[in-house]
Amino acid sequence: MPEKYKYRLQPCPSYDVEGMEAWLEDMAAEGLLLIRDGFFFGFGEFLVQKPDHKVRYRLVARQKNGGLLSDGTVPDDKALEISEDFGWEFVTHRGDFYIYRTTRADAREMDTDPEVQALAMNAVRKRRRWQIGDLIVWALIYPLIVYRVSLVRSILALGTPFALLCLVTLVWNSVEVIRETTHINRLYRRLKNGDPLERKRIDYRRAVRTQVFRILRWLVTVVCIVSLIVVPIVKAAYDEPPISSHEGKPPFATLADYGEEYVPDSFDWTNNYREWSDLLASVNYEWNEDGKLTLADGSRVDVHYDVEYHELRFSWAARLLAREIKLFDKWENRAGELLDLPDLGADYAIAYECRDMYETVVLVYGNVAVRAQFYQYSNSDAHIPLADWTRILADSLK
Amino acid sequence: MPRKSMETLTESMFYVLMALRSGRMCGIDIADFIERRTRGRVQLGPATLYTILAKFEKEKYIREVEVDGRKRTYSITDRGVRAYDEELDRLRSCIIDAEGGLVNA
Repeated sequence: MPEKYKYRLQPCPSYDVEGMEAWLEDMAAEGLLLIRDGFFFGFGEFLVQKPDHKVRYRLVARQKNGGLLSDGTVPDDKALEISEDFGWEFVTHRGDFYIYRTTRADAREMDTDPEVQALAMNAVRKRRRWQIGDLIVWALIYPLIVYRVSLVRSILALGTPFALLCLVTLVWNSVEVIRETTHINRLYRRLKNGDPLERKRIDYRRAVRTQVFRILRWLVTVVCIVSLIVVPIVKAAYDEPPISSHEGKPPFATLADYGEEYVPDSFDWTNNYREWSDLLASVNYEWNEDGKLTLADGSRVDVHYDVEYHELRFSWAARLLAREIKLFDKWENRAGELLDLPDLGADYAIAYECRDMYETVVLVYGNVAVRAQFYQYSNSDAHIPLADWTRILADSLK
Repeated sequence: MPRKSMETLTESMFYVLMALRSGRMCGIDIADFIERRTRGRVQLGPATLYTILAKFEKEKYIREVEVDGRKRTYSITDRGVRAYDEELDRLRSCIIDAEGGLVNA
């Protein structure tokens, strides 16, 4: 007769040792025996057999993580041999625990000394501490390094709703890690005090709700992580139409405003822009221009001009963004010594040279924050002084 | 002052050292020795036994001296003997204190 299998959703977290043992024994009493390596995305795979109330399951703390020679999913030979000598077979691993089973009513318990069991649980506790450390790294240091402390800028790049979703996901995962660690610590303290663990009754309705939330958390986390990688790439690749297609004038000076005559370059990779709106900033531009300017004295200069423009909801956010931009340029673009600026009537104004050639200015007027970069090249001495082009830019923003 | 790791042995640990003090043994023989010696009062489960043996090997109280297929034989080290003797002295002191207290009461 062909073997039949059934699938059941795990009703409690893997670290809930007492709950897992009770659940697996309930399954055995219904005639469902967990198969070897029988977990897949929170579902247990069970072989259908006759109901057996003698079956016992026990979770034993995994002492080590995997290494070069072992992935840690199977106990070492010594543990397997001792268990088999006492009538227990290893079934599978789940999280930080190995699951053993016996069908012999006379087989002695896996753990007979709670204080010794606490020693084993201590290995799990220590790994949890590392996990909290990892979480702190991902939550704080990783964004700081990847986004170079640019909180507002990264929110604008990702979009405020998505950034909020990432924040909620991060908090949700943190709460789960803390809950898990607290539970393990509680188990450890009970065992250390000599209290053995007990199989408790499972509230299956509550358990299903818990697991549905857990699966939702995993899905949202995966979506966030994938989107964090994919979305910026897709946006950069597809969201930059040519400047010639822009209707009307943007809310800042363009290259045409800096000279008597302007001829844009015809290269594919330049003279494009990105415009978008966000909850945090209603108007945002990334503007990239290259061309030849004819100055008032008839001289000509080749110019590369970049503008990053944001109209934020709050003036404090504009000032924060300006500081982030300055810090980012210092770390990423080798921003040099500060340059002298005339009085532009701005709430915040700073200028420096990036990579020894790009004059860069960051200005804030109320809730508007702008970063503009100017690179000039000429065969003659033709040059637009910093004071002149920044004044033109500042006038366009007031 | 909090007790340091292995400063005081649990009852199971003490009996494992007692078993190996009497001679080389494999895991199941250790469990049988303890069950006989305590007349069934102390029974070692496989997870408990494995944890103790692993801990004692790490602390160099015991060492694995022979592997014959599935059968692994352990023997106690000098360090293990000292730990056992210290625990025995401590337990004797507890009994003396307790009986002295009863006499004086």
